[in-house]
Amino acid sequence: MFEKKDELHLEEGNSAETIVGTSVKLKGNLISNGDITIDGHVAGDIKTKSGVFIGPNANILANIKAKDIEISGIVQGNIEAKDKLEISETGKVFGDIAASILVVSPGAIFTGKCAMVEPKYESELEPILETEESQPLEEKKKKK
Amino acid sequence: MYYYILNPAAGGGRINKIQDRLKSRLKELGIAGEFVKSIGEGDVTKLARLGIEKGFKTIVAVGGDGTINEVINGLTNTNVALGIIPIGNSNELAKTLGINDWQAACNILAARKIEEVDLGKIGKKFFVTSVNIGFEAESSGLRYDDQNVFQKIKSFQKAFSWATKYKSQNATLFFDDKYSVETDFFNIQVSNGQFVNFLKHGNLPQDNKLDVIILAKMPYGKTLKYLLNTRNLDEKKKLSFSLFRTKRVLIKTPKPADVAIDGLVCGKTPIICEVANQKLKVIVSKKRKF
Repeated sequence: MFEKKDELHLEEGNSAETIVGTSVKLKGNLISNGDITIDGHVAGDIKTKSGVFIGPNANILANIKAKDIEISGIVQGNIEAKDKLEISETGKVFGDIAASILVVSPGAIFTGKCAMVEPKYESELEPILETEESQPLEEKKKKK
Repeated sequence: MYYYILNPAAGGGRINKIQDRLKSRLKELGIAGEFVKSIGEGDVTKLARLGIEKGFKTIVAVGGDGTINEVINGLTNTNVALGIIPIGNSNELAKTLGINDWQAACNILAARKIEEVDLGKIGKKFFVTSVNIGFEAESSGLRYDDQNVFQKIKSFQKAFSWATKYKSQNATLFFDDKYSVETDFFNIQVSNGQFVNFLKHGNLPQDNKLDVIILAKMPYGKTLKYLLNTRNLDEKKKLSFSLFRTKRVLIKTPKPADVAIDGLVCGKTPIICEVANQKLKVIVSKKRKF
């Protein structure tokens, strides 16, 4: 996601709804439906239905809640990824994390509690075997 | 019926060269209406209002982005459609709408395909493309379009000398009363969807949101490169920037800074820039970029 350069640059087809560049200090709650890319400073909560991508220059003091989260910078706060949380070799996380899928690269720093949330698949929600009660009414009548 | 507002100063007086051919083409297409010419600053808005009073349902701006901006400010709170014949130095809005030259514009006007787009607003002033603070606003008087080679060289020397002294500024931006951003910036641009926007994204100019793009402070070498490529959007993509999408933004700077609306300096910071409740009806090409 991030180039090996000091600054964040646009990639073709970048669909980020919000991009916090290196020169920016953001205060407050950042709530979005689209992807959020951060390479600057953020103090406040971050929440999105899509992804959060935290670059190597980022310094974040915030709780983060998103679908997918990639961390290459510093985060102080609790993190909740609905799907995948990835901490790269330059990433530093100080706080509790919760995710369905967790990837921690060698060299990454993580201090806090970790809770793995098992993903719920649709098949788990449906009955695997048909019980007598679940049979259609007409079939029950035939048996009688 | 169509009401054509001609700006004789647009594009270095280009209308004088094409006026007869333009009128005859519009007549051929059966859309020749009333033609009026602006004389001074602010005239275009007054003429647009006059056209509406006369009962015209389509007001056509014959000029560049500046002319269009003046027409838009006369069309708010009406059901009248905007048409464009691009003959200005800067025709960014027309390009986004798929209107590349005056010949194509005539056919597009005749087809009369209408789209509604968001309008941006600063106080009582409306805009459809962009607002700039910083380098773009302060250098707007140093443009060197449509001049001969010697004039271009002279203008560029002036712009070059100015750019070497240009210093980045500090600003604080407050977005939708939810969060604030503090930054050193080279330029801040507030744009509507894909209008004059170097970011290739799928955001539409009808989505009720504005893009706020902050170009970060840049070293001297990059500033000069930016000056050379001020209209080259691909070059801008290589710069470091931030992007926020919002309905309303308050922009403050420690010292009042120039604010350019659709390419013309119209005021100073602080400003509140927001999506207006009114929409703009505009005649577009099938080849538009959204």
